[in-house]
Amino acid sequence: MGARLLVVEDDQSTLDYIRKGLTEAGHVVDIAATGQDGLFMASDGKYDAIILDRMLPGLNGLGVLAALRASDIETPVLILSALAEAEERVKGLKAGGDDYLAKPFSFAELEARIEALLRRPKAIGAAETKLACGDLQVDLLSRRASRGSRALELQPREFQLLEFLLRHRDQVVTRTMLLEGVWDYHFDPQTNVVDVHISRLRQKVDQMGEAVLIHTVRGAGYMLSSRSA
Amino acid sequence: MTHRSATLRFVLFQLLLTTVAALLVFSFLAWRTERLADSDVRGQIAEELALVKERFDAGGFAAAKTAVAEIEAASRGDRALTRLEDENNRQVAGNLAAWPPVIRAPSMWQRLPLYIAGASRERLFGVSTLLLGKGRLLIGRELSERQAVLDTLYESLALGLILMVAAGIVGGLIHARYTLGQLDSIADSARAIMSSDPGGRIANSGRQDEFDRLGAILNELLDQQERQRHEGELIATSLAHDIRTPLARIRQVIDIGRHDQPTALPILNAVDEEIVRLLRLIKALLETARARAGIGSESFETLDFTDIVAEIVDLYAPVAADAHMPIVADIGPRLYVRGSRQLLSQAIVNLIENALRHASGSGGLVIKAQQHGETISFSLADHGPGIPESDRERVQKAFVRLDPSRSGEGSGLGLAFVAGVTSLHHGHLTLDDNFPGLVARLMFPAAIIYFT
Repeated sequence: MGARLLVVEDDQSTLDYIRKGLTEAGHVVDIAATGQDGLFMASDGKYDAIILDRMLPGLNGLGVLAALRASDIETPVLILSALAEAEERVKGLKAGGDDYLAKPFSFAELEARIEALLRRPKAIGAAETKLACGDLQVDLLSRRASRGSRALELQPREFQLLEFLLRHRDQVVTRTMLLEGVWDYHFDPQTNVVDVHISRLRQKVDQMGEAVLIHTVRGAGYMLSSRSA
Repeated sequence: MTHRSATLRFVLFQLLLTTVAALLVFSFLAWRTERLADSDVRGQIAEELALVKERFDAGGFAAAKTAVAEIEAASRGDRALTRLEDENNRQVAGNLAAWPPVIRAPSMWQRLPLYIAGASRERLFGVSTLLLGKGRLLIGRELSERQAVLDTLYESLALGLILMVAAGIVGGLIHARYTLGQLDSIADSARAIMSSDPGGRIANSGRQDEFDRLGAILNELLDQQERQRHEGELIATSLAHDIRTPLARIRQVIDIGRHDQPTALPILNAVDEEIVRLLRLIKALLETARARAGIGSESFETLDFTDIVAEIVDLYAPVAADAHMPIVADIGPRLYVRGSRQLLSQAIVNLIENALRHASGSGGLVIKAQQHGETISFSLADHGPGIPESDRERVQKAFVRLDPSRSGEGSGLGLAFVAGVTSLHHGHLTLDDNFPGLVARLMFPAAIIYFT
């Protein structure tokens, strides 16, 4: 299940770190140290995802991205940047990036985000109206959720949280991903706000005697899965 | 609102000026006209007095009496007033039955109203008198008809005065409207540029007038500010990159070490923890510096502040409840501000986390968001230890921590960041006593919403 990934990054140490981790995770990793090289390698669209540093010598990351999108290469791109501010993030996403990760990052965060990019449904066409995991069923139209025969009473935000977890079924989602995806906040609170919300949701979803669906992944985040961890 | 009172001041001043000028002109004209109008009568009476005196000197009271009779007979148009008295104040000649007590002799020229026997109301006379030996002589003329002409003239002048004052008011209003309108439009442009369009500039009318010069000066100021912002942004960006990159590398090495050197795990974790703290500090410092330097206002949009606060309350309610500091929120409907959702949310999060940290276990948090006139106010009140009044100003500065022993938690930048973000949104942060506890209050100008 390894994917073909391109990492465009001029900092050798960061590059080694990413390559080592991704290779260990079973991916095939190509590297480029400049924007021009990266653009050249990516331009035949053979990669499943591209990890693109924003500040590169010569052609910078956003330039590479713009050139790719202009030539209809729709490979998912994760932008890496030392510019962590929300507006910088918006600039990156507007330029055609699919996700934005501020440096420094933990490898777990990067890995979770790449998995999410790789598993993103290719065709946007038919929108799903029902999501499921084990005996957990969620109807997006009627906004109802149930576990087996038991209906779940969820607050609107809890429903959104569950929907996000379901859309990333069997993937690790980090706290930052949840804050961004569910609450649209692009800063890190110092309090464990996300954990508290997850634990409230968990009380409703996983009850005594039922198989655990919401798993905690140590050092990374959470995963919704019907497979036992 | 201040420019309205400026209009009023301007118009009132103009009105005062025109009124004073008009009154001066009116009085001067009246004075001159009266003098001019009386001068022929005065001259004739002076001649007549001289004639009677001449006769008296030559032939005594008898000769004077004839002269008076002659004068009386000669005056046709205006009614003549005459009286000649001997040393015992007995009438020798003339048509006046008694000497009016208000008239002294000798006297040059007096205008006074007198009752004439048989007349229904007083009439105006001009009178001159003279001493003749031990007797006295009075000659006068009725001025009523001349006065009627003068009165008509005065009426016209008064009308002119009223017109002048009215013209003053209208002119003042037009002038004020125009001048202040120009200033208002410059101020509006400047405000729009500050809040939403940093690249914009105040339009030049091409008239090269004072307003164009003012606009040009403001544009220069805006250019300067934009240059500084760009420079600041550049410094912040390269600083972010240059400081974060080596720290990122250290973390990568630590991460690899965690896998390869399991025995060193506790040390590596401790180092990593400190680096995370350092990174957080750098981030907070940069964010605060950016907000203070005005970076970020170029991407402002009109926001539903009601939603912003409600969403944060929704995010923090469970954490606060678990910490036994339940949040009670009173959020007014339809509050709109211009700004950045991320920065405003982050500022409010900072305040809530500050309260959770410093006021823990002291009871509920009260959050209010309301609109008062054109101001949106947000407040968060806790029942913790509060901040002594003397320190409230100081804690809004960077790196100020009230308790020096509190080394671990907080960056010392929380309130500085909030103050920076608030001022970026043209608002301000105030800290007050909650008896006991702290009330942190943010005030912003409300956004103007045009409903279509």
